[in-house]
Amino acid sequence: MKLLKQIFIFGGTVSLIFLLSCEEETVTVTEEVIVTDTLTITETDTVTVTDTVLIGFAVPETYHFTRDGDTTVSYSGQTTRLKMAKEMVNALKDETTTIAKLLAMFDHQEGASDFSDADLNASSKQVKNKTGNNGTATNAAAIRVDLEAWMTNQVDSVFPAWTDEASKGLAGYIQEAGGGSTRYVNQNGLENNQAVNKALIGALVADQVLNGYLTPAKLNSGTNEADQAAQTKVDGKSYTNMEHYWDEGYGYIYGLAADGIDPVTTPGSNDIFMLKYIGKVDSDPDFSGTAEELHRAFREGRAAVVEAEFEARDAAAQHIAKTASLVIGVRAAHYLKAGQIGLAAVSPDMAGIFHDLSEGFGFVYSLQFTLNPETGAPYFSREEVMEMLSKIYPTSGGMRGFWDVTQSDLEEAATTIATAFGFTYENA
Amino acid sequence: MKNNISTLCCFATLFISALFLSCSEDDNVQLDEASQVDQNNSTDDQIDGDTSDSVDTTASDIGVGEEFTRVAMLANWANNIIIPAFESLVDNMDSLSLVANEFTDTPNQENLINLKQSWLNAYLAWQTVDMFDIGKAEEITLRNFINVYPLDAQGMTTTLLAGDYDLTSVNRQDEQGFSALDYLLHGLGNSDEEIIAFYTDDTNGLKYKTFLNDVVNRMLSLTTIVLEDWKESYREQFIERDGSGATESVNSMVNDYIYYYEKFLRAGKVGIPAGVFSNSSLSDRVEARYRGDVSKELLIKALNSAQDFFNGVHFSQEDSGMSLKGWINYLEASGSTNNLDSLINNQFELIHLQLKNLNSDLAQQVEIDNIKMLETYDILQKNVVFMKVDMLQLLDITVDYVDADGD
Repeated sequence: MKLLKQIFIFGGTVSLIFLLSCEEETVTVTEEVIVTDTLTITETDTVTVTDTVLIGFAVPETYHFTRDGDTTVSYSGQTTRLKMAKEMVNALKDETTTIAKLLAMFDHQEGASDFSDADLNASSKQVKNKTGNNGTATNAAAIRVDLEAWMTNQVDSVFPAWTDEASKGLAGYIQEAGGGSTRYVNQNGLENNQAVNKALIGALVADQVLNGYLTPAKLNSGTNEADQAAQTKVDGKSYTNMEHYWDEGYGYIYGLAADGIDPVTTPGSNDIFMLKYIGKVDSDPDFSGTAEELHRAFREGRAAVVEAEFEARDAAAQHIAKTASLVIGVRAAHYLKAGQIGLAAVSPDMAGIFHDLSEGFGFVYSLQFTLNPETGAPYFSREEVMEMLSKIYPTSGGMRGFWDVTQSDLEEAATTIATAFGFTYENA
Repeated sequence: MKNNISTLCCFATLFISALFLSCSEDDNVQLDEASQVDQNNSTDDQIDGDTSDSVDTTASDIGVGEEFTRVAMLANWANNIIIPAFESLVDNMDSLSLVANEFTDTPNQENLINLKQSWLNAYLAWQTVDMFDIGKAEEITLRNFINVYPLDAQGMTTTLLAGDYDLTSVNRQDEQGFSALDYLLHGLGNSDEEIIAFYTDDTNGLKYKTFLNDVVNRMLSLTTIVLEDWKESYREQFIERDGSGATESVNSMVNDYIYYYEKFLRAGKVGIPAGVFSNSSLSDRVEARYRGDVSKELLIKALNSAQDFFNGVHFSQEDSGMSLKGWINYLEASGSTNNLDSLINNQFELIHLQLKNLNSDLAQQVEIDNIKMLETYDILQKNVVFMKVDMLQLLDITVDYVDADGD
């Protein structure tokens, strides 16, 4: 009976979407098909969507919003920061980079020649002051210390060993089996560049979006609600303050997309942060549709902002929090599982395993920046994350990180993550 | 509240079909099961493509409905295919080792030409065992030390000149094996004289000689280890593990076979050079690129070996025994008959037909007319679908590998 009701709820939703949208958007037929085979997870989502739709405003097919013929969407500052972060991550793979250079890229000051792109040098934007800064001040400081410690380790330990073969306890290079990619790891098998790269997906992207721009506190700050109701624009701009905040959140995820207006049907972005892994999760049959689901929630929320429908806006923001957090959870579990499977091989390919685990390390780190809309807290606290990292990357008591991690530790951590997000080790 | 919503929704549901008619632009409601659909399509294509005259050219002694047992198939594989193939490879490696010694003792043109021929013989013999990545071969990752290409020629030269190298290191896998020999015998210069000069050079000649022999001897010793293991103990284990579980011999071997066909034959020999997985074609990724004119011959040998394995044909003979083909026949005799074995064999024949259109140097084929390479890939791909989807479903075998993530 319950099942039947769910089918009805879902079916109803689909028809309502049709009602509202059949003139301007093509509802994908696959949604209809899903009715036959997915029933469980969609229930709460479906109800949310129903509420949104009942309010009665149109949601565009693409992220295209205008006022008096001018686009109201702007997120160039986010694109700039993503580009800066990308250059910084790439510099970690060039053994001639100095620590001073890396720290300057992280802590960029307007006009300093830190980047190869002159526009970035001229910019007043910075990565560091937007890294992990939505939690407590203590945590923010600790997070920056973590990132700088990986960069320092890279320069002090890995760069000098660039042409040495890595071994347990010694940094160096190690090649994937069968003439595969060469990886550069620290004394414990960690690729610092991967740690930084994947940690920024949480610390820069997820934190800014979920715990920053899309929170009611941020969106409603100042006189934003009244301004939105009155459609009062920012001086000299086509957008309102609240619209701009929403777009800035959007920009952290989609700022490097090939086409920011339609990043779902036009993949092929230059992104190396969240967007890249939304694509990866979406291509896993267990999570297909994730990319569209997330983007649709952004469009719904943005349309709700325009209409000053704040409840609908917050419902969309919660949907975004849940989905973007899931992306981090899935990739964290995925890479830990990949490491476990690699270790189970008759002749383990250590370089491949280290690469997977280094990515997994960064994604696990990023879990502390997720947001569970049902609790208002991250799916894993910083303390829980650090505890988990000490299991998958054990360095105390003479342990040598990924050289010593066990399959059962990896499986346990991945299962813990999967369970928190409502999927299984099998799905990861 | 919830009640209200469901009532409302139920009510709205009544409209759904009408809305469907008025809204949806087309009627291509498709289930999201692309592979299923694809598979059916390709099966249809196959039936349309009339190749019925080439059915059953092999393994005709397996009668429809003949009693099938896993243990009989495993015994046929081990005794009549795998072990003879490894014996032949080791024989060829032995010769190669002798001829390499003759060349390094007396580096002249005659000895170089002999060495090149021995190299090619051994390389062809390798194609008959490459798919058997199981047992000791899997344990020591034989393939990764014998036939990684492209060669890291620069790294190999650095290693060779440095002298103090460890060929057992994973870091050296793309600096040894057949591709290293290819470079050492064909790639060092534009003529035999230029190549020989590397081995007679006062400063580094000895290093080239030593490295050449070290590479050959390592290949000989690794392949010998695998052969001995098959003969001494693994043969029994392999045949005895005749259950239907995921880690039993049949499932493991069939997975290894399809993985090999998909990754090393289809992708490695054809797809990667043709640029199927990259933005542009990569003619320098062909097998034996320095020799040039044998890459198609190696591909044909690999393809024949793969087809013979499917049909249970004894190594280097006409006879055959229990096989995947026989198993399919057996199952189809008791159930629906889709002639899957004929589809697969027909597809192999279509591949052979297509190969007639290709240059003997696949790198040239890529550069001159890559469309033919892409077509070859597509034809090879159809057998991935027949075997990995249709056949594994029929045989109730689960795929035990996933495609790499790619970063």
